[in-house]
Amino acid sequence: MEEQKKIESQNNKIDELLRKRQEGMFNFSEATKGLLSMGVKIGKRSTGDITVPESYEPYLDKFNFSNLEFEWQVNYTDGTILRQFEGEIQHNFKDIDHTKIKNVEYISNFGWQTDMDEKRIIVRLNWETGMFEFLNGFASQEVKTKCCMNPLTGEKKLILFSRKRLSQAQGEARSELREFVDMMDEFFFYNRFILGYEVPGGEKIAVIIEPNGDIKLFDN
Amino acid sequence: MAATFAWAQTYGTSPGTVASLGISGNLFNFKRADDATAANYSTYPISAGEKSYEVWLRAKFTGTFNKIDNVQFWKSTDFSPNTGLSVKWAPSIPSAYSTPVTGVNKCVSAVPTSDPGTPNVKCRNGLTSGLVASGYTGYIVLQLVTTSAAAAGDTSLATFTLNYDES
Repeated sequence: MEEQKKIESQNNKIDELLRKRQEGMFNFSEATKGLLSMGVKIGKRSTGDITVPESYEPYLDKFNFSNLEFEWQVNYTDGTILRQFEGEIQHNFKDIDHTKIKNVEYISNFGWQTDMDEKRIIVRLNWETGMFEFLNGFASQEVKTKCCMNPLTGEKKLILFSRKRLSQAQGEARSELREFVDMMDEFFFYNRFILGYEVPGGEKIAVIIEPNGDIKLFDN
Repeated sequence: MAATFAWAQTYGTSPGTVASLGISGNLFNFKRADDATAANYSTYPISAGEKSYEVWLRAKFTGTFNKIDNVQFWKSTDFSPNTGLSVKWAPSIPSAYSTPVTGVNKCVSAVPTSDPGTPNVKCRNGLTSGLVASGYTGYIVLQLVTTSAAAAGDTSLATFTLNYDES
């Protein structure tokens, strides 16, 4: 009888650990899927691999130099173009000639599954009218109403930058646990891309492009 | 290349020695030693109820950029379990380095546990000044404070996040 109780107790312990493990695996999978669908990139220190959402495949070679999801391009009124990345050369905000901007675009590093001719251009800001065109990505009606309906000519100050977030775990997992999952092997990064302008008086019209292509109003 | 980011730690007697920690992996451990390696924490354990040495970190940015600003730091996930463990930091971001200690010094507040919304790490001695050339942010000083309830052995993991704007 006592032996039977011991066996039952052991079986209960095994069941408890199986439940815990199954719950852990489910939570891990669900959280990973959630992170990837938001556009969070998960880096593996040991291999250098980066897990990206399936929709990002295939990354395109031409614009993949920076490892950014989107890169900007300024089209000037004289027909010339300034790209953020041109081969090994990188341009930044201070390289832009603000006196002859025709439009500013964010171009994706991956193709969109759309029928648009310009599959790579996600957003275009017409500098003269202040109106945005959302050629790809997912802009809500609220965004379109704010950014595509009312022309705003006149003096403007360009808003163009990326917001970068890097997260990493610190601490130690016991070596007997590390054998199963190396919790220190991962780091997480998440880039957001902001495009817009400020008019005299301080009003800002700007959007934030999230790495999964969601486009929201930027009011920060 | 865009701006390149790496963590740096200053340690030792003031003015201190600067060590580059890189960007990923376990960059440091809280312990009862003032150095810049994660490796020897078990040789210098923190007894329950004690504090670790302060860890003086900075973000270092190099490469080509117009401006780096809006630098924010927070703890995304806490130790789990976190019984008897709390990470304190210096909310006023000291402008000058001082020799790390194990007592109460700069680290008097809990590290923010969510996006603070506004910059909380100084650059060039101001929260809105930003960096306009390669250099370091202000110091992020961290210290692990334990109580007698802290369990023996390794702590689990805590995730820290750095956020910044780059143009």
